[in-house]
Amino acid sequence: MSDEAFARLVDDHYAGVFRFALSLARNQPDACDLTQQTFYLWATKGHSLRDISKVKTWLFTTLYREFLRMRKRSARVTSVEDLPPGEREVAAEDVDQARRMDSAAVVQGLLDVDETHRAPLALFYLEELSYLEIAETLGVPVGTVMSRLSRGKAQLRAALAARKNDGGVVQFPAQKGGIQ
Amino acid sequence: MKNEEARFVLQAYRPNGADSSNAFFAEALGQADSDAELRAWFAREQAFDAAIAAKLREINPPAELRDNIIAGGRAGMWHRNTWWLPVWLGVAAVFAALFFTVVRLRPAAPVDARQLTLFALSDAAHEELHKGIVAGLADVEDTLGDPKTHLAHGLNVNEDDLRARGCRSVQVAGRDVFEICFKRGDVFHLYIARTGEFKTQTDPGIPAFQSKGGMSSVTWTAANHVYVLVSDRSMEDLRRLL
Repeated sequence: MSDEAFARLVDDHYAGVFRFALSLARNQPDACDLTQQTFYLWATKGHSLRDISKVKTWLFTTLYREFLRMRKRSARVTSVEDLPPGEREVAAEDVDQARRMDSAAVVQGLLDVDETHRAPLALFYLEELSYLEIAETLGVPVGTVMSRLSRGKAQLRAALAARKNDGGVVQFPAQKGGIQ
Repeated sequence: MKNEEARFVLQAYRPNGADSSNAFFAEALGQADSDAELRAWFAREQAFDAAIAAKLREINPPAELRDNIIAGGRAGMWHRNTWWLPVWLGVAAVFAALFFTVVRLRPAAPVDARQLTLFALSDAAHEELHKGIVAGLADVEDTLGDPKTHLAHGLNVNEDDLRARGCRSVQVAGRDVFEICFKRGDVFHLYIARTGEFKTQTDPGIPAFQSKGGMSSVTWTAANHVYVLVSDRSMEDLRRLL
């Protein structure tokens, strides 16, 4: 792959990849490391991908695997099946609240969602991958993705509501060009 | 499909419409069209999802991230494109080592004995280069000088012994060649080399005569050695010594 082609690929995908990395790592430095590592792996191993239309899935899958590897050292394994189901249904005020909140607060709410549900949720909201591709990326069955989405959304709504009840004070300092 | 099932399916429907052509959602979407309650829920769900997605899109990567990715990727591509370099350098080094080992251990290919003959013809013409009669080789010289001695079958040559006894040795094409002067009426010069190092163009035992610059030579092979006998006498005189 030429330098120009690689730069185009980066331009097309790095923002989405970074956002997913941020949702997983929950802090900007680790998200940047994960993003760079993902593209580095593409530069060194991506040529083995036969179906070029799968680039996006390859990138997200690789990032997720790298995240799991990174986290493995200090992993706290949560059994998804032990988590309570998402019970809170979307209400009209949830929509209004989401619209009113600034992006950093919404992201912080997303980061409050437990990791198992956060990964499919972030991929869903990035709108880059279908539920099938999310399942492929995370290496879980489609049904698992669906239930994790359902529970993840419920957790997110609860997290956003809790932030609202806290007076809307969001400890999520925004930086120029990014968040931390 | 019950509404609960439809909700379970539709909550995975992306708010940007990217799933509109996905048949997986068709039945649930159809049900939402016909069920007011489900339709209202779906509208809220989509609005909420769209709001969250929009907020997520507002998160921009750090300004330097792109350049860092590009730089890292270039390094990665260089590494990928040149991964073979150290491998091939290693392979080349192994081959070089093998080559030199083989060259050093393998016996050198024999040189055309005509080189030895030409050298002998030239060398013998310069008496000043020769040691003449060597005291340590008196018995050898006596044997060679004896008219009864025929050289065609060669001599019982021991190179270490010749060297130890002070026999003149020279190098021709990098090979050791011994030279013994002896008198049989006139002075003759006998050059002795190993057959593995010089190869005559004639069959073993068949002498090859040559003359040059007033000197005559005869070259032949016997046992493990190649001999060149040189004199300023005629080729016929040389033949009589064989």
